[in-house]
Amino acid sequence: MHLRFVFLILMVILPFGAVGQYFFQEDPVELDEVQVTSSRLDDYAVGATVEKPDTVLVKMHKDASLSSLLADVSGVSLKTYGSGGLSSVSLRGGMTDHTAVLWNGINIQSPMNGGVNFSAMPVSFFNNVEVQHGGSGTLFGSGAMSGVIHLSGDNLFTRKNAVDASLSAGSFGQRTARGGFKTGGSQFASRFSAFGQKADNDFTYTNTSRIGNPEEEQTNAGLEQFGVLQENHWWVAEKSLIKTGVWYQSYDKDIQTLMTSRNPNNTSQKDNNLMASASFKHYGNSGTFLLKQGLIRNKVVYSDPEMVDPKSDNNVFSWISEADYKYKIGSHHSVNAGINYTYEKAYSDGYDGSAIRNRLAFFASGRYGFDGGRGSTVLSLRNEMSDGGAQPLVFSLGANYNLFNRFRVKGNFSKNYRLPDLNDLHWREDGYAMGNPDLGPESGWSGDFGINWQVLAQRSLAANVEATAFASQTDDLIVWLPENEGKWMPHNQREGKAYGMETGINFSSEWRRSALKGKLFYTYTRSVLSTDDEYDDQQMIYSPKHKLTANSSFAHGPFYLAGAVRYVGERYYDHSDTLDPYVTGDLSMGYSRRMFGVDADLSMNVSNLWNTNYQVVAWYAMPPRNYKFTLSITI
Amino acid sequence: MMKKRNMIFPGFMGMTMKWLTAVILIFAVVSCESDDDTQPRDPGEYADGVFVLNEGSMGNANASVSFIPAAGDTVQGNLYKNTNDDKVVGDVLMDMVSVDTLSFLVLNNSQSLMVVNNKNFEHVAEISEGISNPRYAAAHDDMIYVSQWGNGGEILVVDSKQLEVVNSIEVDAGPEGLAIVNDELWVANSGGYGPNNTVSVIDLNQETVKETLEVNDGPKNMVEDANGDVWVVCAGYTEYDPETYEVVSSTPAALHKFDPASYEATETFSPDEGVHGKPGKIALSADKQSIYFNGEGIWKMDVDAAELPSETFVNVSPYGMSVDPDNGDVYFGIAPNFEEAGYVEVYDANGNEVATYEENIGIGPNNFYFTDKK
Repeated sequence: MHLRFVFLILMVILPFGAVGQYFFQEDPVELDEVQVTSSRLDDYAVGATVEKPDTVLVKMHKDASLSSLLADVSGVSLKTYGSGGLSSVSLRGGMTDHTAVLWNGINIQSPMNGGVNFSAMPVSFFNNVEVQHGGSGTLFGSGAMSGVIHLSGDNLFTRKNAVDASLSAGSFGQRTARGGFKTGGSQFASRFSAFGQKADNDFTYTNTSRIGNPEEEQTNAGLEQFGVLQENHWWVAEKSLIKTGVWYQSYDKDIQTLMTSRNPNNTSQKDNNLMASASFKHYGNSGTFLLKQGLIRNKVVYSDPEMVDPKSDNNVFSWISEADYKYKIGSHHSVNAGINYTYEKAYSDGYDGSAIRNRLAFFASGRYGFDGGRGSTVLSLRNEMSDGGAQPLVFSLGANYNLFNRFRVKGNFSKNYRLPDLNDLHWREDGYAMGNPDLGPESGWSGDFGINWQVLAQRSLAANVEATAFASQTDDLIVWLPENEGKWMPHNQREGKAYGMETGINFSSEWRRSALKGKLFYTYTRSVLSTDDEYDDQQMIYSPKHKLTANSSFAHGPFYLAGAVRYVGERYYDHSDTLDPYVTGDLSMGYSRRMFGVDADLSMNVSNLWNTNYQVVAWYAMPPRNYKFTLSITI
Repeated sequence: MMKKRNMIFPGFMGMTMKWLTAVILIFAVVSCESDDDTQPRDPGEYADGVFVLNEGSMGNANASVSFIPAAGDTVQGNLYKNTNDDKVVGDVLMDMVSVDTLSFLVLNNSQSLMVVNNKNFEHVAEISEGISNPRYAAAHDDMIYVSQWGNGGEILVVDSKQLEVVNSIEVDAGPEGLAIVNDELWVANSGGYGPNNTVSVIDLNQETVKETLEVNDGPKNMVEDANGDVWVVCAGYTEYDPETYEVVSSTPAALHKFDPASYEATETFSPDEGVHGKPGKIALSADKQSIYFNGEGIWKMDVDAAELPSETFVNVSPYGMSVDPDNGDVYFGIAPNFEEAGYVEVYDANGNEVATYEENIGIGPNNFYFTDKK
């Protein structure tokens, strides 16, 4: 354990000192194509911490699912049920359904249970993955209590036309294939991407739940998944842009046998998701009009041959319609106002029919830019009405300011809410559980304050330091509790309090044909739940107090090497039992070359570098050290 | 819960060398005791008191066993973990029966029976072959009978010497509570995940279902009273409309009194849901002259009474309920939720609170096992 810490620190710190001697150069200025990519996130998430995983990190996980990428992303706490299993995230000590997930600006959280399965989503579908920490995302609506994960493609007009394909093979029957193309010109551009993965996950692990710690083979953990994504960007008129996206994926997962179960599990989960988004954006002289439409159809089937009815079929249909207008006042100020209508319909074996909810929300933001572009402040408001009536008016007030040259302060305060999920409200009485139609929304506030200091900004060496302190409180948290005869029912009964600190160092250095980058990020999170007057000072389950991530990459000509290490502290999994802290790391090395007019890239990934025996969720064994080889080509 | 006790030595067929050694030791100790009646039998650390079975929260394998000594000393928690190298006992502990020095713990989601030495709670073996969704157990002679929901509902016959499943008997869906009545095994087929309305009576010599008795929906458990009658508690079955939450269909709960000679229900009591609530648990007083059942509070009823009681015995909503067969105290396991530890409340046979135990009780106390005091 000790050695791993040394390694982790050295990986980031040592090269830092070694490259300090190179002479400084000006950092090349990168400008976004503002017209196309500018979004409400960019304009109105002022004062918020928005993390974008490093390109090298994305490359390392390119042939995997978002859950494997997010595990290495700073400040994200990932809860994954075993290898390739259901995976959800939490941020800043919040619960998993307190992080909204938006694809092209459309919330894709399941209205049934608030969940999103990151294991089903291929990294290669999204050129932009952004993690917004804290409650500033309240503008994006219900569920954005402790953060928002934004997923989108990038600007197709600035991307080169290409065809790419990739094949991977790895341990425990892992096979991955990925391919796609981008075509088009300056008026119309289009992209297609496909991804397929298969794994047996029949790895051998040390069963620490049994006396003698026997070596056992994992059973019922196989996975098959497939997905396609198609996107178009089209300038229909000089100032009018239409974007469309269609995304389909299927995820067929055998639910891993627990380490504590003596007979193989034979249950499985099969997800089918179809999502479509379309937007029309018109750039006027004084403002921008945006109309957005989204359709989501999800089907989740759990199979348990033991049950009388061996399949549990859960279906969701959502239609999201949103219009907003941004009015520019001078070059620094703007106001934005809009309306969102969301129709949700769920039909499930658990409902004895269907449950329908209509939601209507109004939102408005005002942005005031300080003189000379030194900073800005934003006030956002959102009010939602659902079938249950008007929800609390929520707001977010944020600001950032360049106090000194390259030293920026930022802060945010917000009020947040989350509507009950349809399962909470409508689950029929089935002898074991029963929904509660009288549930109200969860609501609370959150605030943060931070600094960002660009210590150095040269091409040969750039470094910045960031630190943010945060705190939040949530009331009326929904919790399922057993009634008489062990029947479970949800109640607005908990109060959550969280506070903590996020600190990080980033650096990059380029010199001749070599480039070195690194990031070290530490999160301290204190999160407690209490019921009524009883205040229990215990850390919330599955919320580590300490998490440290480090990643570093080095490229020299055609060779590259990247590593990611994470330390996750002790976590409670019930009122008194804990999972041990662990350190695990991934290493990727590769060689990229252009030959015969084709860019070829051969890489090797080693996961769980130190063969750590660890658990993310109690009694779901995680794979030992494993390998993956990938060959990809781009024409 | 019934007292279960048999003087049968554990055997060692089909066991590994490691356990062979342990069993030979046990065998030697027990043999000495049996050979010489003047020597007191070594009762071990848990001679006089009650084991509390804490179910734990499903999937977390945080079930545990606590021990409340009769002397009222400090409650001991986590018996298995503390004696077995900090290992967990398993996932969702439902029941425990003993045959001589061995205790068998029914672990629903571990899909196993954990066998421990009940003098010190040291691990002896774990039986898993043939086990699928086990619920409750009863011991008779040297056999253990386990109800399980797997394979459409079965009773497993487990040889406590060989430590393996030797037979399975098909019953109806969702078998739960078990009772040994005149060398026959009565099985409450609750329906499991759906409705069902039968009790199977198994001839233990033939290991076949001899009678299938019709009862109200959702039979959960039964007890045999001082008159030899068998009381079956049925919870009924209710479906609700998802939009309006109005009852779509509902079948009533019942307390049936059966004559085990004729297999006929001699009386059926219909609890008034508005008064008594929905019963699902039943326990027998120490003198076997009264039964306790739950619902809106706990009700006590004389076995010869002509109608249901009109006043509650005590007002608690227990997750587990058992009676100390020696002094008649009623033990309630209280589970406020499945994230925190529960507690145990004890009342005497007149409904006076005797004790509350909070220290070292685990999550979801659902069952009790009273040790022999001989």
